[in-house]
Amino acid sequence: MSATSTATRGPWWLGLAVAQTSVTCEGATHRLRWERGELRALDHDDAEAERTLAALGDRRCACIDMLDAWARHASDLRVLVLASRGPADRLGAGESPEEDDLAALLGLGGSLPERLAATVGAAWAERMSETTAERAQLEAALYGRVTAAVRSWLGEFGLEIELRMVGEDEPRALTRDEDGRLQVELPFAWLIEVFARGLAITWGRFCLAAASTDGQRWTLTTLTPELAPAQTITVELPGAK
Amino acid sequence: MSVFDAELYLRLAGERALLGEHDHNGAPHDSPLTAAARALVAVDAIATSQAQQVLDDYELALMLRGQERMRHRVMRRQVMRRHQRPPEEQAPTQLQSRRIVSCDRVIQQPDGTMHVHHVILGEDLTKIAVTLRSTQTSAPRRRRGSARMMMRGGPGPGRGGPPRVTLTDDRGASTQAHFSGSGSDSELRGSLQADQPLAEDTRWIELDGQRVELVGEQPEIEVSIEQLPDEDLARRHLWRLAASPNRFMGSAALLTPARDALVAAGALPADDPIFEDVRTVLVAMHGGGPAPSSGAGKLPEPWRSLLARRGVETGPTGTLAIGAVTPTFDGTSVALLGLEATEDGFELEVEATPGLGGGVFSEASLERDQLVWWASDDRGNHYLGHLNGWSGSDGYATGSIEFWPALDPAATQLAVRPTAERSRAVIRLALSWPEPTEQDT
Repeated sequence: MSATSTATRGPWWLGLAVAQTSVTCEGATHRLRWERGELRALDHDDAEAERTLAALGDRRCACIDMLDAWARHASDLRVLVLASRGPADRLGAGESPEEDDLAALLGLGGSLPERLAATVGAAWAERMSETTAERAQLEAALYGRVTAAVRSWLGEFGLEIELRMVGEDEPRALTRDEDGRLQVELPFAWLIEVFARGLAITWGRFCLAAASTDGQRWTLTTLTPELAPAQTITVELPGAK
Repeated sequence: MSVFDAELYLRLAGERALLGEHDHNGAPHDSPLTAAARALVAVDAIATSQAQQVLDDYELALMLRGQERMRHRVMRRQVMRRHQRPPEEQAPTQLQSRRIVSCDRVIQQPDGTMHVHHVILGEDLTKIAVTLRSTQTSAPRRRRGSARMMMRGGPGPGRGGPPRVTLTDDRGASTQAHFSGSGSDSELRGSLQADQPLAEDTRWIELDGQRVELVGEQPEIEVSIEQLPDEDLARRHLWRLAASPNRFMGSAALLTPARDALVAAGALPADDPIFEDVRTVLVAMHGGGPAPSSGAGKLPEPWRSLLARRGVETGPTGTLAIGAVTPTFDGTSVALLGLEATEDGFELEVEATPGLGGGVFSEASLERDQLVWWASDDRGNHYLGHLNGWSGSDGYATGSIEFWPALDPAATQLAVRPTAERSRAVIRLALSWPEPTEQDT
């Protein structure tokens, strides 16, 4: 069954919930907060001044280090390789290799790693038309997340999936072929539009597309496990007008 | 028809590994993703550096998901990058010719004997091939694959450990030498390596005051380099896999990702008989899969004759001093120092530059493939060797290559062929064994 996206362009972070965690910084517990596409260190009023002071005093400030690492990796495709493929794919049991600030970022709590992956995905979704060298990495990132979601949704953990990464405005589809394989046609933008918002499986349905004009009221194009027909679901956040 | 994208193929394989499609509890080098990457690199479907980047990415991803095996690989690679020069900077240095003198001298010791087979002398090392026997226990047969050990000090076999010996040359220089080798309580075979090299042209050497004259000419050894015949890259890769037990670690199951990658790349058709042949070899040598439908008798040479003599334990025993150094071939140079034959095989003591391709660095890297060690004799028999132990540093390695099956007792010539990707060296040796001493019988 296929559907064409009716997504309305807006800021990529529209509808993404605030994420927050705490880190030990200069002996105290400080807060890192992601909101509206940006990471901020809530307990440091002037990050730039603190950065300078830290450099002059040859001291480390964990919050500022994290902000800097975030900025360095905001379009780093390794994030999409390393980050979680979904709720069942948990990171953190392994020890981070030394000198790898990305592993440290992905070890943060409070959904910040998911927001970092969304940030990277959004950066690359913006430049899909000019992307050739990185296409394999983008397609693999999409494949892993779609596969994890679909297998979990259908309860078929050995299901073979063949993905065709289509353009953002091309029809999206999930169909079974005669050998039982699932043929998937989705754009890379699905990672931001649907997966990053936690909408991949909603109400027992696979979400092909999600659209909103205000980030509060969302229209989801979904499929039941029979893969047809496409059904529209409307989701409204509290406080929506 | 869509163009095959090798990077995408590897990345999708990496994704499947993250989703738990592969069992990752094998040995560190038993990664299906690595097997696929090596295959694609071998047929020039992807650049080595690009394939390595994919491996790096997914091994770190697996490590972050708690896979201890991957943690080891990632850490090793970090060490490698910190300490190893890039491959393009690792031009081989020419190995030094050694003075190697056959001795065949038995020295009586308080609780046994020390049989000195040959002495290796160079600017940078002095090494003596010896067999230590205790008179307190009966001599067992030595077999290939005995555990190697490095021990310092101690009184010798049957007396708590291998010896430490004082060596002296004809200039009066003196140094300690430590034993490295393998064996049992009653017999140890290996070498004594001096802490400091003695004079290369010394006329004699004393071991704890017992003098051994160093006389006699070094045998003439014929060494040549041959280009390998043109062969399909995919077939060459598969046969190299079969001949590299260190890397393939005995698992025929790992042939599957290599096969899938080669088929996906269009390098071979899925029903090519070579897949079954290679699987037959892997299962015959290591087990790890269902019995192949075709027997070893249908395999191409040298595999057919090699497998036919598997398990033979009637080989001649003895040691030979060699002292042959090859020119550089495929960026590698090899020196053969000595050969030790046992009933079930033989072992070559070798040096190589820039390395032997062994150890953790090679497992964690796609950069350089290891040599495949073939040999054949004048009776039409073939022998296959693998790296049994090595030591060294960036740009140089010394180690031993263990060959099977046993040497044919009737063979008089042996051609050893360390084989790289596109060429190989051929070192021709005369198999003339010293008369056995009383202790050897």
